[in-house]
Amino acid sequence: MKKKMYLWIVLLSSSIGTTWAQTATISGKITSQGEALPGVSVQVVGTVDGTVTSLDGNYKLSVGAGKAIVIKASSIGYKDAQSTITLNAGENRTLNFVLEEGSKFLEEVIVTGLSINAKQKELGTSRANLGSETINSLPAPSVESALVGRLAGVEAFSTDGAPGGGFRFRIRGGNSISGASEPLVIIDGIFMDNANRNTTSGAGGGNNATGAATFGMQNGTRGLGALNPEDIESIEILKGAAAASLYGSRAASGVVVVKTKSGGQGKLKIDYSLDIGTTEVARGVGKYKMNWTSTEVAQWANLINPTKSIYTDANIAQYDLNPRTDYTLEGFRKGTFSRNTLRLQGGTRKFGYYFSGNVQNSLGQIKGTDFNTKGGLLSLSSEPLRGLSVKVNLNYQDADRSQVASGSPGFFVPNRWANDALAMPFMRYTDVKNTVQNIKTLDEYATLQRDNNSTRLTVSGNINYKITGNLSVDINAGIDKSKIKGQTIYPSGLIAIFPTGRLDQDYEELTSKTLTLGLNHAWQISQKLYVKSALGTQYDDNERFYDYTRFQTLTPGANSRDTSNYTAPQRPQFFQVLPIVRTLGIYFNETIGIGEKLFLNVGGRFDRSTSFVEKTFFYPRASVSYQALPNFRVRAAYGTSGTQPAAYLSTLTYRLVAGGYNGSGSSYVPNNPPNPGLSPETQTETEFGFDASLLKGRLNVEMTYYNKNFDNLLLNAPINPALNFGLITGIRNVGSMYNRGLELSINAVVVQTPEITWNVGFTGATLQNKMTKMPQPPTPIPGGIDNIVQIREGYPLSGIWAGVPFNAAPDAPVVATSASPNVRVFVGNTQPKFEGNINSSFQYKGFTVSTLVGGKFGFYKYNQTARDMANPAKRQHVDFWDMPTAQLTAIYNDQTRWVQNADFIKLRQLTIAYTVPKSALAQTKFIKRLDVGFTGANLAQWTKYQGAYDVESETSGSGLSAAWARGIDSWDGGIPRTYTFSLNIGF
Amino acid sequence: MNPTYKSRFGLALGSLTLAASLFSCDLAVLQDPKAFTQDKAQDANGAYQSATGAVKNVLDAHQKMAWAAGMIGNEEIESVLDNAITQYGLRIERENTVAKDNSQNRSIVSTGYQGLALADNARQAVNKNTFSAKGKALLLANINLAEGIIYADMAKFYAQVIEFGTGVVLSPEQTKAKAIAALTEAINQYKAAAAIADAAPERLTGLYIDPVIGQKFCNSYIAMLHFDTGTKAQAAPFLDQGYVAADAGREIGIVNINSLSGIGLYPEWRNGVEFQLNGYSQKFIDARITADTLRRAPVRWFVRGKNIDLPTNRLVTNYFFPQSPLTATTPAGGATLAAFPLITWQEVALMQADPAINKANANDTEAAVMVSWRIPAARATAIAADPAVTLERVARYEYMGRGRRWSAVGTYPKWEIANEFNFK
Repeated sequence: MKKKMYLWIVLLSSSIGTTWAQTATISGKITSQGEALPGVSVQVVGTVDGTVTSLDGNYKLSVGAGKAIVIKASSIGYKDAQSTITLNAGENRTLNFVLEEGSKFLEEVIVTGLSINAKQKELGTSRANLGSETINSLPAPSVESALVGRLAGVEAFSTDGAPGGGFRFRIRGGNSISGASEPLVIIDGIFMDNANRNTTSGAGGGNNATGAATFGMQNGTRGLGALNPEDIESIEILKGAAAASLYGSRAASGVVVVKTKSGGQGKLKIDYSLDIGTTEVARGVGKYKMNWTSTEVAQWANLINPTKSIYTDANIAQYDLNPRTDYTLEGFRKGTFSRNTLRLQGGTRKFGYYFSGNVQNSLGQIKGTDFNTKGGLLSLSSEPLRGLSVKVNLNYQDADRSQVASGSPGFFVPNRWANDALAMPFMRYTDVKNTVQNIKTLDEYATLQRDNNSTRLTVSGNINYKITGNLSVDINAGIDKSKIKGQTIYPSGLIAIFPTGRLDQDYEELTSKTLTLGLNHAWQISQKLYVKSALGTQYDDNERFYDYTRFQTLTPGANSRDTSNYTAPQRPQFFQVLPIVRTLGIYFNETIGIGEKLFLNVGGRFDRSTSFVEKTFFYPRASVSYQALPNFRVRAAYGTSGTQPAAYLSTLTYRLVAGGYNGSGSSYVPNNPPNPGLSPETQTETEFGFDASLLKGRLNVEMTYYNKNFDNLLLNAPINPALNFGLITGIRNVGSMYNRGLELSINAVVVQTPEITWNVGFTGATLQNKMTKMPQPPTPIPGGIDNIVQIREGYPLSGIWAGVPFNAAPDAPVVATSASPNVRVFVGNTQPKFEGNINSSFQYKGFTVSTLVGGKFGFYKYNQTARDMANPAKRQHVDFWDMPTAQLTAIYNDQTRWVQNADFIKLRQLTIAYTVPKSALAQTKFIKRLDVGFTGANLAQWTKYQGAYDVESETSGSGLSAAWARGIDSWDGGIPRTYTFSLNIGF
Repeated sequence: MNPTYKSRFGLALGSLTLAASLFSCDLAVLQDPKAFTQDKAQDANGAYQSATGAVKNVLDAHQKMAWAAGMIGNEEIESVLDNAITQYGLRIERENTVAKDNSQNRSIVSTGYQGLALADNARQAVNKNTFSAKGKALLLANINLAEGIIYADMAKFYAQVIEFGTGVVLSPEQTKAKAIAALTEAINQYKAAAAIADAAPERLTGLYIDPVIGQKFCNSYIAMLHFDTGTKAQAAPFLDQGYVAADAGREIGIVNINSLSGIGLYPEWRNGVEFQLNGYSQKFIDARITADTLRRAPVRWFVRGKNIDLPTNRLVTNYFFPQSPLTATTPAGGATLAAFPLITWQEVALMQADPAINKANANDTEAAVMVSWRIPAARATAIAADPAVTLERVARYEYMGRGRRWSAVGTYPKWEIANEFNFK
C-alpha cells in the first residue's frame, strides 16, 4: 500500500512540468560518498521544473535553452548543491552532483522518544517539554517536583510529604481504575519501572494474619524520584493517545520521555552544584482548638466523662495549662537537606564523556523520616566512523529511606489519644503528670517505622547509523534493574494488634529490559513535498521477584531490628515470582510535508504481550498540522493507546494458604480465573488546537482541547463461579469513562531590554470526567476511609459519596452511621475542574527573580482531619468542642458536612538568584561560572479549606489498585515548606 | 545499486526482518510460569497442594451451607431487631446473604466450586506424576471424598446447581448420584491404601489418611445422604459399614477452624466476640426467639468433654448448639483440641434405629446417644422412655450439632440458581 502511494506521488511530481519551445536536456548522476542517491530532487530554481533521481541516482531533465539557469539538487539529510549553466537549444549536457551529508532532517529534534525524527510543527499534538535550562533553574529536590505547575494538563501531587516519597502524576486526569494512572517513563530509550516501590503486602489483622499492616506506609520510592535533576537534559511529556499511540498498550496514562545529559562539547568542564536547605510543615491543623482555660478544661472533661470515672477533679487539676503549644505539631521538626553534585563533561565527536556524582541527605520535617541517596551517571558517546554514533549511559542510585506510620503525625496523634485514657487530646505529652497510664510519647510512636534500601542500575546503549544521508537505523538497548530491601518494625508493646512486637522483612527485585530497532527514511520528492518514514520494533520484558518474611515476639527490651531477638518461628510467609511480562510492538509513522505549511502524520503500532497472550492490538494515529499564517498554526490529532492488564490477570493462578482439614497443610486456592480474552484498556483521544505567536514572537499562545474516551476499562465484574474455579468476581474489560478538557499556555516577554528581561507564563487546564459504563448490575466501587470515595456510573471517577442523615424513627434523633450508611449521595468531585499556574521570571543584569503561583479550583475533599477533631470522644474542634453529645454525634456522623470545597491558591515558588558576571570571574583562572540563589517553595497558601498540614494533603490510596481513591484528608503531612540555598560553580 | 549501499540497506532490512520474525513468534511460549500457574499446580507438589486445597475449601463450603441452612429460619430473616443484630446477623439482613439470594454466586457455594476445581486439578496432577501406590491411593481418596461431600451438600441444599466447569445444570438427583459415586470411589481408594503395608512417603499433612476411618466415614455419609434425600431404605448397606461407638473421637472432622476462611461454625475468636454460635450469639438467639423461651437453649449445652447436665426445664428444647472443640480459655490462634466430626457414630446409630432401617432398638439407642452427651445413664434412660422424646427429636439434636437442622426439619425451601448464571 505504502509503495503504491510513493509511486503515485513520484508519478505526479514527475509529470509536473511544461514543454518549452526551445529546450535542452541535462542529465547526470547524484552521489554522496561514492554512492548513488535515489529520490534526490533536481530543480530549476525559480521555476516549477524539476525531477527526482531514479534508484541508481540518475536524472534527466528538459530545461529552457539560451539563458542562464540554476539547477539545484536537494535531498533530505544532505546539504543542497546547485550549479548555474547556460545551454544551447537541443544541447544534451551531463551535470553530476556530489552531495554532502547535512542535518536538514535526520538530526532534527526527536520529539516522540522513539527515534522518530520530527519537527514540532509537523506534529498535530500539543507541546509539553522542559529543557535543562528550566530544570536547572529550579533547585528542585527531584525531577518530579520540577514538573509541578509547569505543564498544562500535567498534575503532580505528593501524598505524604516525607522526603523520598515521590510524586504521583495525573496527565489529563485519571486514566485507569485498576491501574495506577501513572505514565510510562522512558529514560534514554529504556523503560523505567516507576511503580510505587514499597512492597509490604497490604493491610492485615493481628499476629495470625498473613498480610502486613502498613499503617499507611505505602508510599515508596519511585524510580523517577531517585534521578538527579541535575543530570536531565530534557523532559518531554506525551499527554495522551494522540501523541503516544506509538507506545501502544502502555501509553494511556501518557509517556514521560527523559533524556539525560551527555558529553562531547569541547574541553573538560567541571561543574559543582550545592543545594542546601531546610523544610518545615506548611501549616498547622485548621479548626484545632489550641487555647484552653481552666474552666474549659473542666467543661471538656465533664463532657467526655460526666461520671468522672476517668477525669476526676484531681486529675483535671494536675494539667499545667501554660505555656500552651500546638499538640498537633509535635510530630514535626525542622528538616534539613543537602545535595552535592559534581559534573565533568567534555570530549570531542570522536569521544565524549559526561560524568556526574551526587550525594543527597535529607532529614525529614516529620520526625522519624529521612532519605539519603548517592549515585552517579556516566555517559560515553562516540562517532567512531562517519555516520555512526554510539552512546552508552550508566546510571546508578542507592537510596535509604525511613518512613513512619502514615508518613505523618496523622498516625501518632489519634493513636495517642486513643491509647492514653488520661491524656487529654489537647495536652502536650509533657503536660500529662499522671504516670500510672502507659503513655507513649510521639518519639516512641516514631519507632514504628519502615526502612528501605533501594538500589537501581540503568544501563542503556544507543547506536545510530546513517546508512545514507536520508536513511538511518537506530538501535537502542538497555536494562533497568532495581532491588529494594525493606523492613517494617512494630516495636513490642506499642501497637495493640502486635503486642509482642513484630518485624516484617521484604525484598523485591525488578528487571526491565528494552530493545528498540528503528529505521528512519526521508524522501524529498519535490521542493515542496517530502515524506519521512519511520518503521521500528520495540521489545521489552519486565520481571518481578518478591518475598516476605515475618519475625514475631520480640524479646522485651531487645533491639527490634535484630531478627535474632525474635522468639517465634522465623519463617518465610510469602514468596512470589510473577510471570515475566513481555511486550513486542511494531510501529510505523509517515510524515508528509507539503509546502512547509501542511503536515500530515499517519502511523500506528501493533502490540502483543504476555499480559494479553492471544491477541495483537493495533493502535492507530493520525494528525494534521497547518501553518495558516507564518505565526499561526492549527492542528488536530487522533490516536489510540492502551493500559495493559497486570501480568497475572489473563491466566489461571493460585495462591498459597493454610489448608487441609486442620490447617496444618499448605494448599492452593484459585487466585485469578483464566481470562485469555483479556484486552488492554483502550483510550481514544482526539485533540484540536492552535499555536500563535504574536508581537514579533513576544507573545506565544497555545490552546488545545482534548477528548479522551476510555473503553474496556478493567474492573471486577460478577462471573459464574461454576465456570471460573469458584471465583465470583474477575477482572473484565467492562468499564467506560471520558476525560475532556481545555489547555491553555501563554508565554509573554513583557519587557526585553539589554538589561532587563521579564517573562510571564501561564498554564491552565480544565478537566471534565465521567464514568459512563460499569459492570451490571450497577455496584459502586468503594475506596478510602469509610468508603467515602466511590466510582459510580454516570458520575466522576473518585466522587465523594457521603452518608445522609436519616431518622431511624419519627421521633428519634437524626443519625447516620459512618462506616455503612444506609443512603449515600454524591456530594462532590475530588478532581479539580481547573488548575492554573502563573510563572514569572524577572532578570536584571545578573539578578533573577522568579515566581510560580498556582491553584486548583472546583473540587472537594473529605475533611477527615476536622471530623476526627469533632469526634465526641475527642472534642478538639474549635467550633464544636463544647456541644452536647447528642448534637455533636449527629454532626460527626453527618458525612456530608465534612465534604468541603478545597479551592486554593499557592505561592509555589519564589527564587532569587544571582549570576556573577564573567568579567568579575575573569580574575580567577579557573572559575568560569558562578551562580547563587535562594528559593522558597510552598511559601504561602490562600484557601478557605481548613484541614491538615497542607491544603494539598491527601491520604494515599492503598497501593496501586486504589490509586484512583483521592481527595481524603486524614492528617497527612502534605507538601512541606522548603527554603533552599543553591550554589553552582563551573570550572 | 552501489554494492556498499546495497549491503548497508541489507543490514537495515535484516534488522527489520529479525524484528518481524520476533513478532511473529508465539509469545505464549515465551511466558515463564514461575508463579503459581496451572503448570505448577499440576506438578507433584501441586497434586498435594491442590488436594489439601480441595479438602479445605469443601469443608469451608460445607460449614457455610450447613450454617446458613441450619440456622436461618424465616423468623430470623424477616424480623428486624437492631439491638440484637450481631455481625453476622447484620450481614444476613443487610447483604441478604441467604434465603432471598440463593447463593449460587455468593461465597457460600463458590467456595465449594473452588474445592471442585482444586479436586479436578489434583486428580489431573496425580495422574501426571509419580507417587507411591499408597500415597496415590490416599490422594485420590481425599480428592473423591472432597467431591462427595460438596456434591452431597448440593444435593441437599440446592434445587439445582451448575456442574463445575461445564455449565450444565444438575438436578438434586444428579448431584446426589455424583456424591455417591465420588464417595464410593473414595471407599475404593481407601481400601486400596489399606491393602498396602508401606508407609506413604509423600506429604499428606492435612489430609485424611486413616483408611479404615476413611471408609467408615464415606459409608456413613452416603447413608446420611439417603436419609436426607428421601431414600432411607437404601442407606442400610452403608450404615452397616459406617461408624460405631468405638469410633468415638476418631471421626473425620474439621480442626482448627480459625485457619479456614468464611463464616464457619466457630467464629468465636473473631471480631472481638468471644463466642458466637453458628454465627449467632446467645443474645441474638434470645432476642430472636422471644415467643418461645423453651427454644432458647443455652449455647454451651453441647460441649465436648464437659459434663453438663441437661436442665430439666428445657427438655423440649428444639435447638441444640454445638460448641467449638476449642476450649473457652484457648487464646486467639491457640492450639486446637479435637476435630469436630462431619458425621458421628451417634447419627449412624440413630439411623440404624430408624424404622426404615430397623436394625437397633430405638430407646436403647436414644439412651446411649444421650449418655454420650454426658447425661447420666439413669436419666438418659428415663428421657428415652418418655413418649414425648422421639427418635426424630434425639436425632435432630444430633443433627443440630452438625449444623444440619434444615436437612432434618425440612422447613426451608431449597436455594435456586441465580438468574444471571442460569444457563451459561
